Amino acid sequence: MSAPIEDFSAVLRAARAGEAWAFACLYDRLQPPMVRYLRWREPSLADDLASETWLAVAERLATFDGEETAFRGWVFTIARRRLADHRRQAARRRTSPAPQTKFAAIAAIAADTDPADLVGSRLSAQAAIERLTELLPGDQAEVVVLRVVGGLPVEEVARILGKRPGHVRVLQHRALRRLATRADDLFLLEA
Amino acid sequence: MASDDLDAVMRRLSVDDATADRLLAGALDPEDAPPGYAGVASLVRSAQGPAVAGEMGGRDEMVSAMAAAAGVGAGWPTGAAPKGTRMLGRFVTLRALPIAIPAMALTATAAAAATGSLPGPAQSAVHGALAHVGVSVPSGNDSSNGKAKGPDATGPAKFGLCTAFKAHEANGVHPSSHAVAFANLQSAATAAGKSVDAYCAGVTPGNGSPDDNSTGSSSSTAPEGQGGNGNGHHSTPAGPPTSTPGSHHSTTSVPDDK
Repeated sequence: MSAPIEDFSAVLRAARAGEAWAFACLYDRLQPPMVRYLRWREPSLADDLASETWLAVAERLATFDGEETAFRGWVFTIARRRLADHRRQAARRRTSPAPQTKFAAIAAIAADTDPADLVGSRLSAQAAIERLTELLPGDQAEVVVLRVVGGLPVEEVARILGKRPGHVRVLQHRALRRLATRADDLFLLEA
Repeated sequence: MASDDLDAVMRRLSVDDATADRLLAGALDPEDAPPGYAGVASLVRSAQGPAVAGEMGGRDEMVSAMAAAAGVGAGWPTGAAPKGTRMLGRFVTLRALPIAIPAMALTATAAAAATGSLPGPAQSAVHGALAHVGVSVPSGNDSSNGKAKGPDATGPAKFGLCTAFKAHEANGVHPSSHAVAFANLQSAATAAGKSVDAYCAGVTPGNGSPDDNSTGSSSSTAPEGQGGNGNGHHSTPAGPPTSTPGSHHSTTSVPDDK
């Protein structure tokens, strides 16, 4: 995970003033984790959702005040809300069975992955996220992804998900235990 | 497995909060991970790997669009825009339109839009916004039998193309010769017997005709020692921001961007 921005408050002030260098700084830090999160949730539209999220962030930047960790949480909150908006609209429009984009993406990853690459250190970030989450229930998986990919602490994850921090801790412990008990199935590293 | 055995396994695999935090933060080497967690630690590190090219596509254009959007927003009181004012793909508000359009037309957003190189939603938003003032940029949905035609550099798009050209040059990036829009601009300049710089001198929005009244540029400038095309290494800005919003909401406020 990238190191914190050296002087986040100065970057934030500059971004509010419309300075492109400041947005470049924020984008470079947060675009990779955000697009990984969105690709995990909605592979076919992740890039568009990320663009919409960034525009919303820029447009609403004056309403935000806080440290870098809170900013990360704020950005992920917006991304998650965009995703929810998209899914609601898609559900209203849908007249035929939903495209299996998620499964297609996973299948594509599997098809392109050499068995040797299943060793964690050689796995792409997106494939690693899929491996981490494929055996987890939805709420546990999202906690793991927000913590691992989003780089967010328990408190921020709790705020994003609308849960109590204690509940998030319970979910992450269950997720970790489940992953550990299935280690031999999931990770060739353990062999 | 008997339930007693399962309980024993679950106890053995339990980790405390601090270890879980370190594990999920990627701060644990697989070799140092608790028994059973080496694979998890390894996958966590892979999931946090450095950015790859496919994740950063359209970066410069997106950054320009964000700077423009913030510039529009910076002139407004904090808080959500009044209901009923949202349009243009959430890019500007109706209330802000008189301010937004001239500002947008002078920024790198319009520059990128003129070449059709903004990400999809942003391109569509800028297309819609600039259309209201007679500036033509690609919509982002344009296609002509799969063959790019690009904007007409002798028409209303001239201003946008020239702004784009200048923005690229100002950032130390030579305008891409493979962009159809810039090729059109170069062709128009050549047909007029001028360099692109001369062809673009004094151009204004609307009819593309020169005007001695300089409009200046609202393009962002990087602090000393920083470029607009940073690669992720950032130092503290050299100077203070030119403006700051009047007030801010709490860190827990989430924009109501409906």
